[in-house]
Formats: sequence, structure tokens, C-alpha cells
Amino acid sequence: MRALTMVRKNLWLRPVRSWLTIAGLAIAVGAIVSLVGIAQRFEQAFLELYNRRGGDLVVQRAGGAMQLASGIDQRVGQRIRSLPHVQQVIGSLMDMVAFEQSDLFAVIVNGWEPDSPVLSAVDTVSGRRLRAGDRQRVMLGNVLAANLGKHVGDRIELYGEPFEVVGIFESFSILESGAVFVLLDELQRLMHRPNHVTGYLVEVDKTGGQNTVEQVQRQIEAFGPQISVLPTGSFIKSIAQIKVVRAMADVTSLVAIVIGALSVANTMTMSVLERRAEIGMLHAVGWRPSRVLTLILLESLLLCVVGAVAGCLLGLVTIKAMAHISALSGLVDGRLSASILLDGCLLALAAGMLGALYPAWWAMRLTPLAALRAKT
Amino acid sequence: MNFAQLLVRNVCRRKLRSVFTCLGVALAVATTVTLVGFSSGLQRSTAEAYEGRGIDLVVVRTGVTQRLTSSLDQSIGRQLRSVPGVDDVNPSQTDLISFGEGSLVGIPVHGWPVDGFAMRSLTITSGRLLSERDADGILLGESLAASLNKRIGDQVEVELKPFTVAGIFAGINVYDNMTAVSRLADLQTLMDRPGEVTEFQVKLAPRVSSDRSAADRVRQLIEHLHDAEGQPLGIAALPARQFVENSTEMGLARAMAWGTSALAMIIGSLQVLNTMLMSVFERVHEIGVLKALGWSTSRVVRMIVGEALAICGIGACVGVALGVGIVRGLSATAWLGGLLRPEVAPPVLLASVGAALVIGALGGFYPAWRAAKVSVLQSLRYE
Amino acid sequence: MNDSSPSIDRPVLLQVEHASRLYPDGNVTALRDVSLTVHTGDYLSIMGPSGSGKSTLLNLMGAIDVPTSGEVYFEGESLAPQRRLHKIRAHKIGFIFQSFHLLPTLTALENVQIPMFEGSLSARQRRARAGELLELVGLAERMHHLPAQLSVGQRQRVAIARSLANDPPLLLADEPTGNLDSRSGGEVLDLFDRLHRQAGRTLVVITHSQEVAERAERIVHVRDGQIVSENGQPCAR
Repeated sequence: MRALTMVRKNLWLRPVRSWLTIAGLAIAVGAIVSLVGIAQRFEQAFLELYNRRGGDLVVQRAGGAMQLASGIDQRVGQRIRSLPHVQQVIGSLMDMVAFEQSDLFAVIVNGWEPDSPVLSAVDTVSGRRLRAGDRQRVMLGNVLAANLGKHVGDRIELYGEPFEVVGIFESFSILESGAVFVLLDELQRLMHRPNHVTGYLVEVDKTGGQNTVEQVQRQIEAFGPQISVLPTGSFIKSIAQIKVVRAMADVTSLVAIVIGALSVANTMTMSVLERRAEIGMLHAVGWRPSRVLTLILLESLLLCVVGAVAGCLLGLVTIKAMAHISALSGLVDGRLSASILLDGCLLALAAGMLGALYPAWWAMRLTPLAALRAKT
Repeated sequence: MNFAQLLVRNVCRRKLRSVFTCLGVALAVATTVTLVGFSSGLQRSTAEAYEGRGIDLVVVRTGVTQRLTSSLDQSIGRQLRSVPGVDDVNPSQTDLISFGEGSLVGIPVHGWPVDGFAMRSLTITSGRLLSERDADGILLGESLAASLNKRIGDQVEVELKPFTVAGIFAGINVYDNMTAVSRLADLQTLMDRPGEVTEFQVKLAPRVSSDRSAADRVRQLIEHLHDAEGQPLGIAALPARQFVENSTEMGLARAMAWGTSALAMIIGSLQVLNTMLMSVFERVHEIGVLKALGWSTSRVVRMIVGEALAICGIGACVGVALGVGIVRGLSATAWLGGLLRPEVAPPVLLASVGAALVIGALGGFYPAWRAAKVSVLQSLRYE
Repeated sequence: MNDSSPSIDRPVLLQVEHASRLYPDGNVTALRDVSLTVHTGDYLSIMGPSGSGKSTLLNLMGAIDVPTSGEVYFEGESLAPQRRLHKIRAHKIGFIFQSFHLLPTLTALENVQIPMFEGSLSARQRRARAGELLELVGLAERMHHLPAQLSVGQRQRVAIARSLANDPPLLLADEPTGNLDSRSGGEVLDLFDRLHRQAGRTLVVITHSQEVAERAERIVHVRDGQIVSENGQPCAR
């Protein structure tokens, strides 16, 4: 017999209790994995999008805590284009709108210049791409079009005005396939922000070495104090919405794991208390105290491992289900990274160890006399 | 000994187990108190900040989901003022500014015209209101001034531009106390959005304000305003409270608060289920004896459900105390300062305790059913 | 100290010297100034009515408890409280309890292996040795049964096999037949005889039954926390 056989069989003594504890842990881990997963995917989606569109630097207004609310003058874009080593500059005005009839509450609207590389980069699957001079016309991402049930030629209402859908496009990124594209000057008119863009994505020609990026960054920063230039990675971390989503995921994880640890503590305490005679016997036949401690910790660990694995599966199913809910499908793409699953498992194991610490210590300190005194 | 005493004694028989289960319920309740208290408190604070200034309607661009991304031409104000039933209109530009690190989403800075009713409604505790001559002056809420450690005449940097503190005002509540006010023109220049505002704050005439259908008629009139070319303005007028409740930020906060609370409650209820089930298993013989002595099945069920409720009741009390303590503690930190009210509304407390009792009943029911099924004959033979 | 043991030529295994054990709460019978020597190969029974202190004496001999004054020597080494007593229990002493204390979820074969975790055997070796021990106690056919599937007599024989797991020089049995009917009790006592005669094991059995005690070579009577006689000869104090 191996030690693990004993651990497993001890848990099997009270299958209902073990399964209920595992269920509690699984729910906790499932919640953590899916929430943190969403937060991280959201961040990754931005990063992936910016990298694929060719972005080294993000230029936006300095100081504003809400990126969507602030903007910079379009003339800045011209100045950036004229800098050496700058390969490509994409300017966009961005907004979030709701389509309440379809239960979509956070749909991204992008305003692009007619010659923006993004319009050529996305794959127009039906209709045509936007052209200069398109008034009250939009392109829809395929995911959004499906959620709204709109086709080329249909009308949608945006900012209280009717718009005609001229094209539907596909994109690798959920941030685009769930978005509305309009021409920049149209969006500026709609949002009442003439000559404003939310920011610029700048691609630098890196043939001259990695420090050309920093060089360009310094040159743009020299335009004035109201302009902030950040490498894409740090820009994404600074997005207010991402910070809030992350804080939410962290709070939920904390709550889930504390309650999970408590439920493990409850189960292991019950288990140790009702087995005091058995544990006394282990001491009497000469088990070293640390071995008794290890036995109880291992029992808890096994509970947590099963709970963690079940929780990961639960998390995966949740994420997949969320991706099918139209209200979230623009924001969640149903994928989870292995590192999130690992983090969730590690958290569960930590909770298990923490919860088992007191009962295990209690069992270790039990004297063999307990076995002799308990006569049944 | 009455029935309640019996319940308490049964619960106390396994003290540690009962304590752990109580703690599980308490944490679930504390989570609910804190998070739901946070989201509903934030909503209330924001609504109060409007209503406290006598604002009945908020006019924004239709279809915007985030308050701050709305943008309107300031000239619409004149049209709004001419709508019958409208008493006064205050154009307002709001931006979130990060005054250094530490705050989660930034501090709201409002840009208001110096002669608007919003500016005049401020209660100045030191210094004075802004006037036409105060270029780049700023008023700070009391808590904001305290946390930035600024006095009258000091400079604060807003988006890299120095502003001079002209006065300090007493806000309507904690949320309002963590805001700042500058002249509309200054904020517009700063944001590079001249002639634009995020919203119009509308005060209705007293007789309209108190009459719901009259107020609705004014809303209709505003939403049907046209520009010079006959195009609709594309604006929405919402009652202040509704405007706050409908915003994406509030919806997100609500969803997160209730979601996390529900999660905590589910795990807590599993724990109650676990504890009560174990308790029934180890007392099979005892329950058989009670039945042999003539206890009805329903009394056995009441005993087990009652024990579960007792555990949850105690847990709920501890949880409420814990939650209120956490809210107090967090509201004092800079990170959430202004977003969290130090007190929790009674309905939130009631809802949390109610939820705890529901999970007690849920967690107690199955074990009670198991206890009800105990056969007298078999359980006595058990020994 | 008058040691009337007939086995003076064999080496001393365990020595209790003027040991006293007092309990502050008074619930357990105290032991006062007790001396006793056990030689290798002895078969000793300790007799006394319940509450006489015989269990306390057994606890001292089994390194489960330590005396408040006096000393207990095992193979010449003192069992002082700071020593790692669990090592003595694991390798030097085999315990047999009145109520067996088998783990209900483990099979007979697995139960016998429990003390072996303190040894250096591999899992395969542990299994093989447990099998041999069960064969020794006549349960080769039943090694994969759970305790609940065995008769009480068989359970005690599993417990005896477990006590032999690490091949300890001393076996201590606390009322080994207390929970058994007379037939299975007799089987257990026959097993003890075999272990003593054929394998030359040292046995100390605690009992309040004259019948059980008489199987042993030496019978020590304990009353009110003191040894009052050995083999019918009153102890000179």
C-alpha cells in the first residue's frame, strides 16, 4: 500500500462530505478561472489587435483617466507621420454605444479615415468597404451583425440617426468582429468632436534597431506635455476599463478562495475530530508526528486537486457558455489560457493547505493515549 | 427547556464545526453587504449629487453608454432654456482626472459656468466661489482637499496644467466631497473640446417638477428638438435617478456585486448542507430514539431546519458586523475614497440577512429530509 | 528491590525503576513507585481489577506516557520525555489494543502495513511482509477483506499481525481478549503462546481475567497503583 491509497480511502469514508467540499471548491475555482480569464483575455485581445495592426506606440492625451473621454487633435497625426522611422500611423476615434433592443450594452464604435489600413486589413465578407464620402453608412463586424440580425442593406440606429449597413467584415479579433466601423469624420460629427481622435497607433521601422522605438517615442513626447506616448503593452495596462475588470476579478477571487478555505477547514476539522481514536492509534504504532501531519494535509490536498480540476472544467464550460450569450459575445471569445487554469489550481491548493493547517496540527499534537481511552 | 434551547444545544455540540459553518455564512453575508452596499451606495451618491442641486433632468447624447463619452454642442443650451416648463439649464463638462496614483478610476472634475445654478449651489466652507476673473481657478471638495493636502491659494496640477485652489466646498455626500469644480471654459480648453459639454443639467419649474406627467411632457419636447436644418438633435433627457441607474458603470458594478455575492452564498450554502448532513448522519440513532419517543416527522424536520437556520442566523449577524466594518475601513482609504459611503443602507442589510436565511433553509432541507426518513426500527438496531 | 524473575540469565529488555505517574485531574489511576524488569523472551501478564493502574503501567512501558518521577529503561536507554518516543514505539514495541483500532476503510493487508511506513521497506516489500504476517496469524485467505467483513477474533488477529509489522522485540497487549467471545479469545491466546514458544518473542499482557493471566510465565498483580505480588509471592518493599 502506498501512502496515497490510505489518503484516498480515508476521504472515501464520508463520500458525501468529500463531494460537497469538492463541489464548493470547484465553484470557487470555476469562478476565479472564468473571471480572471475574461479579464486577461480582454487584455490579450487588445494586445493582439494592436500588434497585428502594427503598433509599437500608442499616442493619446495625457492625464485623462478615461481614455474614451479624451482626445487629441488630428493635426498631431500629420506631425507624427512626418517623423523619421515612422512606418504607419493609424488614427481612430472610439466610442462605446448600446443597442438596448438586442441587449448589447457595450459595443465599440470605431471611426477610421477612409484610407486607414484597418479597413483593408479586415476581411469584407459581404457588401463593400467604407469609402470616402460615405454618409450615414456603417460596416459591421460579423459577430455584431449576427447578434443584431442585420445584413447588408439593412438599417441600424446609431446616436439617434438611421445608418445603412454597406458591408460586413470578419476579423481575428473579437474587439473588431463585435464592433461598428464608420468614417472618422462621420463619427466626429456624431460625437460632436470635430478634428478629434481618441488616439494614434504608431508603427516604427525597427530596421535601425530596437531603440528607434524609444527614439520616436521621445520625439512625439517633445510635441507637448498634453500628449502621452506609451508602448502598447503599458498602454493596455493603463486602460481604465481593464483596470476595473481586473479589480473585480481580484475581489471575486479573494472572496471565493477565502470561503473555499473555510469549507476545507470545516471538513478537515470534522474529519479529524471523528477519527481521534484512529489518529491516536497511528501515534501508538509509532508514526512520527510529522507523518500524521502530512497524512491530514495530503487528504486536504487530494480534495483540493479534485476540486481544482473540476473547477477548471466548470470555468471552461462557463466561458464557453458566456461566449454564446450575445450580450457578452463581443467581449468574451471563449478561450482560457493554461496559465490561468494553473493559477486557479494553485489558489485552490493554497486554500486547501491553509484550511487544513489547524486540523492537521491538532492531529499531530494528539497523544496515543487518545486511542487507548476511546474504547470503541 | 423549550424547542429553541434544544436547537441551540444541538448546534453547540460540535462547536468548532458550527463556528466554521457560521464563519462561511458570515463571509458570504459580509461580501454581500460590502459589494451590494458599494454598488447601491455609489448609485445613491451619484443620484443625490444631482438631486441635491435641484437637477431634475439630465440631457445627454442618445445611445451613449458611458456618461463621460457623451458630447453635445454648448449652443443647444439656449434651445433647452426656451422649452416651456424648463426653469434653468446648466451646461456641464466632466472629466476623470488622476491626481497622482492611488485612485481606482480617477477623480471627477466638473466644468461649470460661473453664473450657472450648479456653481451657485455649492456650499463654500473656505475661500470663495469662482468668478469670471478666476482664470484657471479650481474648487475642491473637502475630502479631496484633505487627501491632496491642499489649502486656498495652493496649486494643483490637472492634466499637467497648474490650477489655483480658490475655494473648498462641502459636498452633498462622500462622493461629492471627492470631486473638483472648475470654470467650464477652462476645462474645455484643457480638454481641447471648446464649445462642447458632456451633459446639460436641467431644473424644471416647481409646478412641473412635482408633476410626473408634466415632467414627461417636457422630456418629450426636449427629445424632439431640431437644429436649424430641421435635423433631430439626437439627445435624450432622463430623470437624474434613471440616468444614473442606466449607466454602464452602474450596471457593471451592480452585476459584479450581485454575481460575487451569489457565488459566496452558493458556496456558503454548500457548507451548511455539508455540516447539517454530517450532523444528521452522526445522530441517526438519536433521531430514531426521538421518533420512538413519539416525535412527529415534522418536528424532526423542524429541528434540523431550525438548527441550520440558527447557524445561518448567527452567521448573518457576524457577517453584517463584519461587512459594516469592512465598508467603514475601505471608505477611509484613498483607493476607494469617494466611491464608497461609510454607512450601509438598511435594505442592503436586510437583503443580506434574508439571503443568509434562505441559504440556511436550502442547506437544511435535504438533511432534514434524510432525518425524516430515518426508520425507528433500523436506527435502534444500529447500536 | 527484590527481583524474583526466574529468567535472570537472559538480557534485560525493559526496566521500570521506582516509576511514579501522578495525574493532576485524578481521573486516571496514578502509579506509585513501581519497579519491574522484563527480560528478553519473557511472557508476563499484569493483572489487576479495573482502576488498579495497570493500564498506566502499560502506557509507561509502551512509551506512550512518561513517568512523573523514576525512570523507564528500554534496552538500557532511558525513555526520558525529550527522547523521540515515536521511534521506540515504531521499532521496539508492538501494540495490541482491546478494541483493535483497525482503520475501517483499509483491507486487512493494508492495515498491517500501517506501522511499516516508519521503516525503510518499499511498497512492494511492505505488501509482501504484510502478507507473510497475515499468513502467520492464519488469515492468508482474508487479506483483502475490510475489518467490517471479518469476525471480531479475526480483527484482533489482524491487529496482532500489525503489531509484528516492524518486528519489534516487545509486544504489549492491553486486554486483548476483552472484546472477544471465549472461542476467539482462546485462539488469540494460542497465537500468543505460539509467538512466545516458537518465535521467542517477549510478551506483556494486561488483563483482569485469571484465565488469560495464567497462560503467562510470570503474573504480576497490581492494586491501587502498586505491584502487590508476583507469581503469588508478595513483593517486599
